[in-house]
Amino acid sequence: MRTDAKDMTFSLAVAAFLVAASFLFFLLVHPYHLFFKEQIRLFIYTFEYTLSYLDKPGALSCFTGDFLTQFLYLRGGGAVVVSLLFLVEWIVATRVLRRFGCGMMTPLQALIPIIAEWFFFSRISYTPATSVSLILASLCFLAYSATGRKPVLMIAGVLFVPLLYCLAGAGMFLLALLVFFYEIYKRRGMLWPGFLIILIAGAYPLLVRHAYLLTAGQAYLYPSAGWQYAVPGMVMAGLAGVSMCFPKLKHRVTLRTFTFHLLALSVVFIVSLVYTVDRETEHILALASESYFGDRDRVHRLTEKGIPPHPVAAYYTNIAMSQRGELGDRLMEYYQPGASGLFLPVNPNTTWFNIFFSSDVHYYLGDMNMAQHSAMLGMIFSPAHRSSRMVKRLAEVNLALGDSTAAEKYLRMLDATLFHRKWAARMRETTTGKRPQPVTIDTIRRAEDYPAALKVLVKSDSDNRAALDYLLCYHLLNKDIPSFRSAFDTYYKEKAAYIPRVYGEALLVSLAAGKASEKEFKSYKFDTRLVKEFGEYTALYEKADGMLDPVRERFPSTYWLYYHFARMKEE
Amino acid sequence: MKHYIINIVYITLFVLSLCCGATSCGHPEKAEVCEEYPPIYPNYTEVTIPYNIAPLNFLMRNEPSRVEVSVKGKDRSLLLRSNYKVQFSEKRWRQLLEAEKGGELRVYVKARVDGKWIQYAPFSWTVAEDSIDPYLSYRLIEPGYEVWNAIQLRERNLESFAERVIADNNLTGKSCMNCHTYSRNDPSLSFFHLRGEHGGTILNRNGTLRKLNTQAIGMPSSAVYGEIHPSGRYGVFSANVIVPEFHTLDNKRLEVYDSTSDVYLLDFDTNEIQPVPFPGKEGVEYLRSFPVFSPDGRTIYYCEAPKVALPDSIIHLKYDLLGISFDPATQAFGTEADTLYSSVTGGKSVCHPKVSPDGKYLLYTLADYGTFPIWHRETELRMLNLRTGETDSLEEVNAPCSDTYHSWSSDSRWFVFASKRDDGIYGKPYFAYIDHDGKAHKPFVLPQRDPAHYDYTLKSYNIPELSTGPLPFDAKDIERIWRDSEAEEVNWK
Repeated sequence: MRTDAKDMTFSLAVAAFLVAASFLFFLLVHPYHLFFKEQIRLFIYTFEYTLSYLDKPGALSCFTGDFLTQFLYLRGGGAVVVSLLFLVEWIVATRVLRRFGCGMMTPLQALIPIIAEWFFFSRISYTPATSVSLILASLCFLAYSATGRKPVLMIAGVLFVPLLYCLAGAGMFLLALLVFFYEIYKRRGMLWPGFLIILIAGAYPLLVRHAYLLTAGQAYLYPSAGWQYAVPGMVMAGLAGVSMCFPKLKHRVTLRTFTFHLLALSVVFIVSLVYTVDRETEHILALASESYFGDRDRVHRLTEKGIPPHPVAAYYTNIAMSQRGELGDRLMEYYQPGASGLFLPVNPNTTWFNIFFSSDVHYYLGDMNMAQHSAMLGMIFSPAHRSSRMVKRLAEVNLALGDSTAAEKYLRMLDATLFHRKWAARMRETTTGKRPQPVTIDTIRRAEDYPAALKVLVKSDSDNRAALDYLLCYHLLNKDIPSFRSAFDTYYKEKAAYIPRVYGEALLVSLAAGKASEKEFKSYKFDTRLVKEFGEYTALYEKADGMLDPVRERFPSTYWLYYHFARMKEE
Repeated sequence: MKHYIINIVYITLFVLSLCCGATSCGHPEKAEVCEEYPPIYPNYTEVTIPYNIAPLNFLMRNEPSRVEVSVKGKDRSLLLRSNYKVQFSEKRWRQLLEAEKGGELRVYVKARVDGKWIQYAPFSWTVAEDSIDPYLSYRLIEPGYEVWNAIQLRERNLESFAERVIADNNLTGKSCMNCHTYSRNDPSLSFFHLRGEHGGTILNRNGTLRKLNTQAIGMPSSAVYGEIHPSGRYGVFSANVIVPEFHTLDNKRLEVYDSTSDVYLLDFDTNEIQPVPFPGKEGVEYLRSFPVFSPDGRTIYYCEAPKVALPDSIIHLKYDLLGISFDPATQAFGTEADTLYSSVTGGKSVCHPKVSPDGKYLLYTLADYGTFPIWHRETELRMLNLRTGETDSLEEVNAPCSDTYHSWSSDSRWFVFASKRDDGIYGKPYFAYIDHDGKAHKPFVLPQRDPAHYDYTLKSYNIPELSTGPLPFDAKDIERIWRDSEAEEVNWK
C-alpha cells in the first residue's frame, strides 16, 4: 500500500512536471510555432469533410489531430492542447512500459518518447495527428495485451492491424513492434502472432497504397511528413525492447538507479530543449502571425528587437516600417536580402513557407489581383492545401474587390469553422463592397514584374504612399539608381516636403554619378548634414580602397554602404 | 426493475417529442405562401435533365429547420422530409425518372423558417427522353492560375455518385497533368498529357496505354490542345508556347497567350508528325490552336489569329474559326480553308471548337480577345449550325461568368461545359440539353451526394468530357507507365 502511494505520488509529480514544463514552453518560448500550425490548416465542421479523412490512412489520427489543431488559434490554446496531448501520451506510454514489467522508474522512462515528441512538435511540418497516431497504437496494444492467450483473440488482434492502419496510419508499426516484443516477453514458444503482425504491418501499406493514392514512402509514413517523425514511436518500442532484454534494470529502485535515471533524463531533456528551441523561426513566425492578427504595435516591438537574417523577417519588417511611414528613412537599419525582402518571390525554387506569406504585401499595397494569386498559391503549396489564413485572405481580397459572390464562397467555409465564423460574420457586416485603393488602369504584366504593378498602383491612386515607397525601395534594393531617380522625379519630388534619409542618400549617389549641375542639386532641398556626410563617406570609401570594415564602422546603416558592398545573389 | 425504468424513460422521451412536434413545430399544411422560388443551391429550378442522371440533391440557403419536398410527375411522385439538405434516395429517384421519361416533374418545397412553414413557388424539372452518356472525366485542380501542386483526373458515373481517380500527380512525381480528352466519347480512345520528367502524352487506344514524346525536334513545344481522329490512327494537336501574365484590373485576373503556336498531325501508327499546311497565308505570321476533327474525320477545325505585338496589343489578338479538309487515307490537306467565324466581322475571338457527333452543330467559345477565356467573364458559348450556317447565342445556357471547355455527348443531345457562374473563380461542370428542334435548355450543375459539396471544395473542375463507358485504366496504371516506360519519340514525316 505504501509502495502504491509512493508510486502514485511519484507519477503525479512527473505528470505535473511534464504538463507544467510543456505548457510553459509552448506558451512562452514557442507560441508562434503553434499559431502557425493552425494557420496552415482549415478544419471545417461538415459531414463530407469529415468523411474525406477516410481517403488516406490514419483517418482517426488525422481527424483528431486537425480537430485539436484548430484550438492552436487561441492565445494559450496551443500550450494547453500540446501539454494535454503529452500528458495522455505519457500516461499511455507508462501503461505500455508497465506491460513489459518496468518498475518504479516507468514514469521517468515514459518521458523519453515524450521528449522526442516535444522536440518534433516544434517543427512546422509536425502535426498533432502523429501524436494521436502513437496514442491510438499504444491503446490498441494495451487492448491486445489484455486479451489473454486465447488464439481466437490473438488472431483478432493480428487482423486488427489493417484496421489500425486505416485509423492510425503509420502508428500501426508501433503496435506491430510492441506486440512482437510482448509475445517474446510473455509467451515464449508462441512467437507466431508477433511475426505475423510484423509481416502484415510490413506488407499492408504496400498492398493498399494505390487505394490511398500514396507513394510507397508516403504509405509507410502517413500521417507523418518525414521519417524522422517516427522517432518517438521507435523510442517507445525501443524502451519496451530494452526493458524486456534487461530485466535487471526494472527491479528495485535504489537511490543510485533513481539518480541515474534522473540525471540521464535531465541531460536528454536539456539537450533536446537546446535543439528544440528555434528562436529565429519563432521570431519570423511572430512577425508573420502578429501581422496576420493585425497587432501593429506588437509587430513594431518585434522589429525593434532586431530581426533574424531571413527574407520573411525582412518582408514583415518592411511592411511594418511602411505602415509607420518610416520605410524611406529606416530601410537600411535592418537586414535586407535585396528586393526579395519587399516581395517574396514565387517561383519553382521558392519554399512553400515563403510563398505562404507572399500575398500580404500585395494586399497591403492594394494590388488585389496579385494578392489573390499569391494567396491561392499559398494555400495550394501549404501542407494540407487548405489554410484558414489564406481562406481569410481570399475572402478579404474579394470583399475589397466588391465581388461579394466570390467572397461568400470563402466566408461560407469560415462559417463552418469553430473559431473563424465570428470573423466571417464581422467581415460581412463591415467590408462588403469597400475597396481601399482602386486600380483604374489595365495592363498585363508578368507575376514578378513588380515595378509595373507598383507604377499602376501609384498612377491609379496618387495617395498610395505605400506603393510609391515600395517602388522606390524596390529600385534601391536592386541598385537600379536610374530607375529610382526616374520614379522619384516623376512621382515624389514635387509632392514631398521632406526627403527620407535613404532616398536622399541614393539621390546623392545619382547626382554625383551624373555630375549634376548646382541648380539641379539645389532642386532637391537636401539636408546639409546629409550632404556633408556624403562627402565624408566618399573620402573614406576612396581611402579604404574597397575595404568594408572601416566604412561600415563609420557609416553602418547607409544606402551608400549597401550600394558599394552588398552583393546580389542570383535567383 | 432496470428494464422497467428504461422503458419509462423511452416512453417519456417519445411523448415529449410528440408534444414538441404538435405544439411548436406547426404543420406544413398551414404554410404561408411565398411567390418566389425556394432559395435552393445548386439552382436546379426549371432545368431539363436526362432520365439517367443521379439525384439532384439540393440545400436551402436560408437553412430552415425542416423541409418537405414533393416531386410530382404524371404517374409517380416522391415525398421527402429532411433538414435543410435535401438528399433523395437513389433507387426511388431512378424509378421516378424512368417512369416520367419525356414528361415534367413539379417540385413543391415547403420549409420551416424561424418556426413558420413557408410554401414556395413550385418549379419544374423536365425529364428529357434522351439519356446522357453515363461517364464524365475531369481534372480537379485549384484555380491557381499557372501553378499546380495536387492534380487529379477523375471519372464520375453520372447515374450515381460513384467517382474514381484515373490519374493522380502524387504518384507521378507531382508533375502537371493536362486534361483528359476522348475521341467521340469513346472510353477506349483517349489521351492526356503528363508533363515534366518521365512525362509524355498518354494515349489510351483500345485499352492499351502508350506514352509519347510529341515534341519532334524543332517544334515549339510538345502537344497541348488537340483531338484524336475517329479512326484512332491520327491525332491533331497544337504546339503552343504559353505565356501567363496578370491583369492589373481586378476582375480579369489572368491573361494567358501564346507567343507561338501551330497545328500538327501525328500518326500514332508510325509515330510520324507533320505540320498542317495552311494555304494562302504567306507573309503573315499566325498563331493557330485548338484543332479538332469533324465526326467523319474529313475536316480539321481550328482557331487562327495573325500575330500581334504581345502583351501590349493583347486586346487586338482575335482568333478566327476555320476548317480545312483532310483525307485520312492519303493524309492530304485541302488547298483552301473555310472561315466559319471571322473576328474582323464578328469582333470577338474564338476558341475551343467542338463538333457534335452527328456533325450538325459546332459549339465554340467566344471572348472579347485572346485565347484563354477561363478568366474572361464575358466568355460565352455559341452554337453554329453547320447545315444552316446560323449561330445560336445560347442565351438559356450562358451566364455572366466564364462558360467554356465544352464537350458533346455521343447522341449530340447534351453537352457539358465548365462554368464559373457560381462564384467567378471555381469552374463546375454544367449540362445543357439541345432538343430535337435545336433549342438549348437551361443547364444544371453536376449533382453531388452532399449538396454542400461545392461550397467547401477548393478545386475547380477542368475540361469535363462525357463518355459512353468507364475508362480501362486507373491511377495505378498511369503511375506504372510514368515510372517504367520510356516515351516513344515522334519523328518528322
